[in-house]
Amino acid sequence: MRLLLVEDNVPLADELKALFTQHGYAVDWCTDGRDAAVMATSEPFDVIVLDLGLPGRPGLTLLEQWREAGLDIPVLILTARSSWSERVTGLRAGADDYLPKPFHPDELILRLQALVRRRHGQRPSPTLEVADVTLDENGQSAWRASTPTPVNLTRAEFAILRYLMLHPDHVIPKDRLLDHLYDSEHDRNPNVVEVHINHLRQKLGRGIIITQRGQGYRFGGDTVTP
Amino acid sequence: MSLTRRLDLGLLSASLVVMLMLAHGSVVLFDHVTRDYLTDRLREDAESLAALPMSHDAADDENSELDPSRLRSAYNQVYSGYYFIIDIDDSIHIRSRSLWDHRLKSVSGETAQLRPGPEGQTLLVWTGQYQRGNHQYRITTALDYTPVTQRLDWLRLWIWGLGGVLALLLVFIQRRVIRLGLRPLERLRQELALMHKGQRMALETRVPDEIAPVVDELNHQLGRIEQVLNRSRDGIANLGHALKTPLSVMETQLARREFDDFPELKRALHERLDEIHRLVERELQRARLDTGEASPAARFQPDQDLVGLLETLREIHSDISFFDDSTPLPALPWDRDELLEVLGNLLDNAGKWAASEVRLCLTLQPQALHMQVDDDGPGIPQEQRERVLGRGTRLDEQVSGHGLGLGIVEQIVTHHGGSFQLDTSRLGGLAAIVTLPMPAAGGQGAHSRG
Repeated sequence: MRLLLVEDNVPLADELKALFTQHGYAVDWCTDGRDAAVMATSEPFDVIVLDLGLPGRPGLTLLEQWREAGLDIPVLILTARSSWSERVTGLRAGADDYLPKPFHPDELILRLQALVRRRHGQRPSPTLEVADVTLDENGQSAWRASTPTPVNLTRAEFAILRYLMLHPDHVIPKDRLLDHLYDSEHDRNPNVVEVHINHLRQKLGRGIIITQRGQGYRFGGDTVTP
Repeated sequence: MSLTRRLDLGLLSASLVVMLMLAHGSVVLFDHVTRDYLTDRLREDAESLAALPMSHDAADDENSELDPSRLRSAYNQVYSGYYFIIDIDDSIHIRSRSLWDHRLKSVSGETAQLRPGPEGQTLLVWTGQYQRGNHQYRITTALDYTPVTQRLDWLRLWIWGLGGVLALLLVFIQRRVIRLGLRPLERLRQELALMHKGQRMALETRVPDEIAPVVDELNHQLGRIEQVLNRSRDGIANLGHALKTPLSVMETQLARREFDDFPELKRALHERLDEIHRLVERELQRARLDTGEASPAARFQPDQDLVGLLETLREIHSDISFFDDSTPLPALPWDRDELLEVLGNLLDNAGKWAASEVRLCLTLQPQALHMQVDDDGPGIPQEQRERVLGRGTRLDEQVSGHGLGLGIVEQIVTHHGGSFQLDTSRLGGLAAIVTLPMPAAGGQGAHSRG
């Protein structure tokens, strides 16, 4: 899950990066409005966290420009301006959620999850359920209906499974998977993905992920072949 | 004591003194002139008496007389008011019949003098010396001065009366003049009253040149004050907003796994951070409220602003239905941001607790705006409502938000002199009711700051 963080305060951005990474997001970080404008359109992000008081270009202008250009990535506004009139303005400019500072980190993560779920037509809930597989996003664990004991996943495994589960009916090319799993500065090694997918198969059964040779991977929840 | 009254009293006493002096002075002058004139008359009388032939020239006869028929008839009537005595060589004394038994004494001096006369008369007496042949005549003539005195008294009364009326007239005129002259000051006072209510920050009345420097100076000072106020308000706002980012950093740091080993410390730090946040929000809100009168452009327009707000809330609480039962309303005389803040917090709060439904109803009454937000949630028991209203206490830590909402609502409502109550809703949950009195256009605005 690729996340673009647009925040000019370095200490906060550091903390948020750590927090998001910990919850399985691949984070790219911009401090300047102009950089963010370019970045958001050039990389396949799944969600954007936007601060309003930015150098270079005000956050609201940025958001309006994205929406005008047809960019429909969910945007969560994170701002010190907490009044309702500002909130209404922000949401009318095209934001999907608005969280005033200071916030509780848990709430931020919950809201992000809800945003991503809503984008994929799912109801926000603490767990993601597709076919017979349940993914606990907070505990970063998963289980199948046949063996209802939660299995802990590593961050990368969790990220891969979540992405595949959010697109259950699609074949995801390896490149696209890589695009959504690693930030732009991360070294992308396709073999590493294969290693993680093998681990997932070992933990949750072979059929959990189906390899479509030459095309990519597909979530295969229902094909129970332990 | 008002300036007008002081000037009234001053003018009244001054003109009364002048009138008194005028009355007295003119009476004295009249008296003087009349006496002068009458002295001439007395002298003429004496001269004509001196020219009269004696009945017989025996100068040593005690009973010498003037022929009564040759005298003016008034000298023969008793106490007629015209008298004379003639002393010839200190041996012969002739008196007019009119003197009867009154003894008239001669006087000395060029001018006539007043002496008491018979029957309460006051006599003007004059004595002249004549030489006739080898006889020495001393002729004293007198006439009754009382009619003149009476007329003078009457004259004095008249002048006093006229003077009094004139003085009152003067005061009346002066009062009109002062009122006209002070009219700019009255307008200035009204402007200052508006300013007191925060509707204006400069005096614009055209004033006379004498007062203009005062008004200019006042405007200058007001400008300075406004500048300082704005600066401090902006300062508070900037500081408040700037503090929120480090607060966010600390909140996020507190969520780190390292702190899981110290739950007590984590909780304590968490509470302190919440406290700082609450204080910051309160001061931010106060700074916002102190900006004074809403410009017409920043007024709350229910037909536009409510739509956006409800849309926002439907997005935040996607599983709750929000209904607006308000009748169409005109633009309302309150700041858009402030009313949005009140309604946003009430609706958001209702949305957090409602089971499925939140209803909003704005009603415009002649003297007040009535706003009610109903939800079908669990409600708050009667005995807890006071506590919730008191300090914006957080009732449930699980529900997102920092429990500041109701506190802010209360702050804004109090600022506008309104009331905020919690009640049981007809939907079964909580009804939050806010009543804001119409801001008075020119009268006393209910502004209790802070």
